[in-house]
Amino acid sequence: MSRDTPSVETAPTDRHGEALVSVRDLEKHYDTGVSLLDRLLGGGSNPVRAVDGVSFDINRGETLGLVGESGCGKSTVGQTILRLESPTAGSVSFDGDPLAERGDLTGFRRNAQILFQDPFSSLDPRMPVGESIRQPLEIHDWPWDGQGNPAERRHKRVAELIERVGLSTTQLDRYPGEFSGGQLQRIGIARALALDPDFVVLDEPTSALDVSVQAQVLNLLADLQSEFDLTYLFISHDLGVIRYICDRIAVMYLGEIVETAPAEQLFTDPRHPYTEALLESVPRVDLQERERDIDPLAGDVPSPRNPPSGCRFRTRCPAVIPPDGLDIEQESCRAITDVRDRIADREIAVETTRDALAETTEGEPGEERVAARLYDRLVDVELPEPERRRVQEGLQAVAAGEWDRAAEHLRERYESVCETDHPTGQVSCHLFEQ
Amino acid sequence: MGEPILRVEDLTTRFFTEEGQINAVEGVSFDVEPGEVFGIVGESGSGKSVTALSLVDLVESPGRITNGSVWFREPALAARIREDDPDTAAADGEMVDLRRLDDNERRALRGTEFAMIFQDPMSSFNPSITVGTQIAEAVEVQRRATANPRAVRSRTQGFGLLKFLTTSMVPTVDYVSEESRDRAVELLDTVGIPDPASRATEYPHQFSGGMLQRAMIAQALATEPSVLVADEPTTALDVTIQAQILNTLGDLQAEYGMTTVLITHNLGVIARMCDRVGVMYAGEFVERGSLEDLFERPSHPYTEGLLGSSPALDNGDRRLQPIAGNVPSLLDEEMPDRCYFADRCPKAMSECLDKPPEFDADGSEGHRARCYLARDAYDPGDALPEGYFDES
Amino acid sequence: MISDRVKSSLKREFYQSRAAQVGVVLIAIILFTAVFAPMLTPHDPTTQRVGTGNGSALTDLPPLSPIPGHEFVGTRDQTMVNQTTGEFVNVQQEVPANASHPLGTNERGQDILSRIIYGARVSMLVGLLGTALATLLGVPYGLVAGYFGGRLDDTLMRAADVMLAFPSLVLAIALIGVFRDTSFHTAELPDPFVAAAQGDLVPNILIPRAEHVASMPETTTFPVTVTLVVALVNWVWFARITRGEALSIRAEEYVTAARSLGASDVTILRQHILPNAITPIIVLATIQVAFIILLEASLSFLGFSGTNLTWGADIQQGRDGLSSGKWWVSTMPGLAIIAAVVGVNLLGDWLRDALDPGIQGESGGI
Repeated sequence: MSRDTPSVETAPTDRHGEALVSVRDLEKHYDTGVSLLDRLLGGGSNPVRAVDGVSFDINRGETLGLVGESGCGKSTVGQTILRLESPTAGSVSFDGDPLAERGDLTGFRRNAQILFQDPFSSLDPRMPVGESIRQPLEIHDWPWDGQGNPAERRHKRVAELIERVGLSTTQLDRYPGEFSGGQLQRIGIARALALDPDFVVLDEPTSALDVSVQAQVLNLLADLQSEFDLTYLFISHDLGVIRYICDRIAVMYLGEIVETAPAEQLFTDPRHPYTEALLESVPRVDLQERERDIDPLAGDVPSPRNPPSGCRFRTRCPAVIPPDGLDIEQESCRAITDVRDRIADREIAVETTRDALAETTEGEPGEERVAARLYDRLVDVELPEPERRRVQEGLQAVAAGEWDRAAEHLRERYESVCETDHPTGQVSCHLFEQ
Repeated sequence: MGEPILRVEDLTTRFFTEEGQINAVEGVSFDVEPGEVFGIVGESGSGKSVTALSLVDLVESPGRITNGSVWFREPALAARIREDDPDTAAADGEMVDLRRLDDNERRALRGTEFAMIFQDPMSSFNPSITVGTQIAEAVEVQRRATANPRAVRSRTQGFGLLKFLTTSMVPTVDYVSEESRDRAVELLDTVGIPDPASRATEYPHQFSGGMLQRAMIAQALATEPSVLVADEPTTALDVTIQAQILNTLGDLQAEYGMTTVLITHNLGVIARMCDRVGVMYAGEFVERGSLEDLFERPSHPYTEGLLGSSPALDNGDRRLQPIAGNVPSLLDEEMPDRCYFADRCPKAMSECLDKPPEFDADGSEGHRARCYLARDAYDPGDALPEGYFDES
Repeated sequence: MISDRVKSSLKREFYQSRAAQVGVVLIAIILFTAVFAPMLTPHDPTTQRVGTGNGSALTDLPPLSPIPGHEFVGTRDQTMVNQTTGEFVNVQQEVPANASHPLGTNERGQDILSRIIYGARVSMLVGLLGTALATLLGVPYGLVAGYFGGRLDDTLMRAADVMLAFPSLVLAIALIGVFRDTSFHTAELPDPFVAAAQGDLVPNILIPRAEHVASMPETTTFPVTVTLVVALVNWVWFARITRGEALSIRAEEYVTAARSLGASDVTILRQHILPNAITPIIVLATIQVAFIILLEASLSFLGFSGTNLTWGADIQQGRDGLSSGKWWVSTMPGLAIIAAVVGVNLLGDWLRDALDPGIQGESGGI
């Protein structure tokens, strides 16, 4: 490090390791489906909380991976950092400067670029590709040193760029429709690098490509990174790709980051239960894969409009922490939690059950019978006796239409720290309190 | 290896479009053993989806199967056909050639013995009818088919517009029977949908992607098929949901002994599910064999290329080996007379300018590769110079 | 701007579709006649002719010709008065098709074919200029509404919808009433061919039928108000279509890409939104020409256009004849309108089928 030579003339060549991009408590909520009429009538809005409090740094020269499944908010993070969407809350700083205070983002846009997922739709189909690559040069009126004929210099730069990404200058006049996905993605890279940015957001850049072409593009991205000293934010759902190209990785679930770790470590020693489940789910390309037992995550991703309280992953987590003093199996815990969640969402079809019962017996079926039937329908594991009784009591309250009482009755006994306290930290899980 | 349940011989499917003739599937042959999972892996433009559609006769104009046979083991039908016409070419032993059956019989067979599931479950369901009703319909069709195998028409009778309007307006009249509805709920349970009774009353848009895919599997199972053709069933799903679905498919396959043809581009899925595999490129099988054959002793450079370019989850250091170039055009006039892969092949030799046939390769009995390297060792002295195929 | 793919789609669709061929031919003929009217017309469309006779059978009448020295009194009377002697003469003016008048004459003895040929000028001019004006008004409006969205979009489109609430003919008549007394109600456009034939600049050898051309009307009356009005009635359709396109294109990824590069809104509108929205606008424009031709004919029929040498006015003129056996006076201009409208519609179909965006993109799932 250049600590011993404090001379001002030292060129800032080794600023590696400093944070180039700093994100703090970033939030992005979408208020869709609210029409003029709703606003007039004062209806409450229930926004989609696509990104709900995300913080991280991206250091110069590194590739930070952002991995998660659909709906976790990773693409939104990328777009919000680049101010293609304006954040609902939180801050983004670039090279030490908070972006919110910059009125004019032109300088930022010169230095921070993006590559999109779908190569077929990210280029204007009516512009020849050479023109698309030239576009950033024209918008920012490059060259800035005023030397030479601008049109000529731009033309030269475009030719340079297209050759660097592995295509030929004879293809500059062609339209996007004449290229394959891999070639279009290369053109997108050429466009993104036209102004020699410092930072590039790669939003699922190879997800739409075949695996053999994907390898080409990934290798190209890696080479370009070292050649031009680029910093990458690599967004993807594909863990294999993430491992290949990233230095550090952040795992997202339902709008939050649940674990951040160096790449090696994340794959050899995953901590958060979601990370574990994610890694387990990916089928490996090897002969022993068939023998490998996968215990997949149950259920579906909850709605981002209504994320679960406390830890968002708790509705699917195989390691929910039972309340103190309660000693039950993980399976039972899961089953009880599922029932409680359904009561909370009022998603139990009591009427259907009552009707079905009424058909087979005479008279109005009593609440106890309805509850018993509901129990059979909703719980498919053997619960120990005290729990079985308590759950049935809760379902009886449900049969009587007293949802809140039912919820309370079960909450008394089964409330877990996972639902009351929102976990934070490098590994956002109460199992790893720091 | 016993008698295969499905034997495809020289299947060729072409698309006759305004831009020219597209040779989507070109002389494809393979066998599928009863109860096994046969995987077809390839990238875009390889012809794998069209192969699947050709198997179940769902190819639509401007596409047409122009050649080949799809032999299916159905002894009763074979006997009956031979009764009617002893010299028929449509039956051979216990197998019938689906291509040579008459339309009614083929449709009958397709509906009851073959079932297909697709990549996008949303487009396979009618959004205005509940999921339970749609699955019950499939059950009903199956019931009628088993009751009266020869009468194809009556099988789907009663599902017409008039019946639908009547039942929509008169709530007490139902156009599927109670038993069929119960069976539908059973099927939903089999595929792992929680609380199936109430979910059966919901509409497709109320299901998540993974749930709907399960529902599609349930609908496919309703006909108790012998062969399930699954075209990229998990490609559109998140990886954790994919794991669920693959587990379910695996369980079902083990329990019912259902033969499965699984089409995918994902080698991991292949590794997880398949017994034997075929690799497609430019409309042909370039290599086929057991899973072990392909992973341990791949003969064709394309197979090697696919394996080399797949990022490994357990090893982040290996540099990916991409395959140079792009997928070729399938337009008839643009297809060359040489090996289709030669222009991208790192081991292209001068022999490769003659299109290679399928050779036997090392390993299991069914291991074949469409490459001279299966027969001869690689001779660098014979290699084609670099840039040989570049357009000047 | 017109890519090769578009050109080949257009060609292919043209060869495949009989309807497209008919449309193109019809419109080509009509445009050709409108432009070269003085050369194609058998007679001067404004000259009124009479034939003397004493009630003998129509077919025996000598060819109609102007009677010098006589003044035309009225169509109903079918009489003329000798200007010198003051004598009334019974004349015949409406005749059906014969050798020198292939489509017959109207109540004033004017040759119908000639009037149809000249009428094509007004219909085509108003049709094309009216549509062009509607496009110029509607497209930018729609672009702004669709691209910026939100409250601006709501306000702009509600205002436009108000105009749509009126039936077009009613609105047109009301607007004509507003503009009627202005000085630009009509304009006299000089006919270049007639001027060339009459003057010395262009040798008469170059002009076919030069002498004939020289005697044709020197100007064409162009109904300015009507053109303005039809544009004002129609622009909303363009605004709507453009707005829809702008909305959907705005959401395309390449627009986001342009924003990420730092492009300004104006640049994006100009470079990305407009070129990609052109196709449906072109198809709409073609179809609107047909609508505007009909609207113009209706306004002429009602007498609002300020000139009589139009198809609509001719129909009105021959209305009575329909019941009294002189059917050809109204019917012929009517057929001309049908030909023009059908032709334009078929042309629009051809463009729409050829430019259908479904052609672009990859063939799925092979």
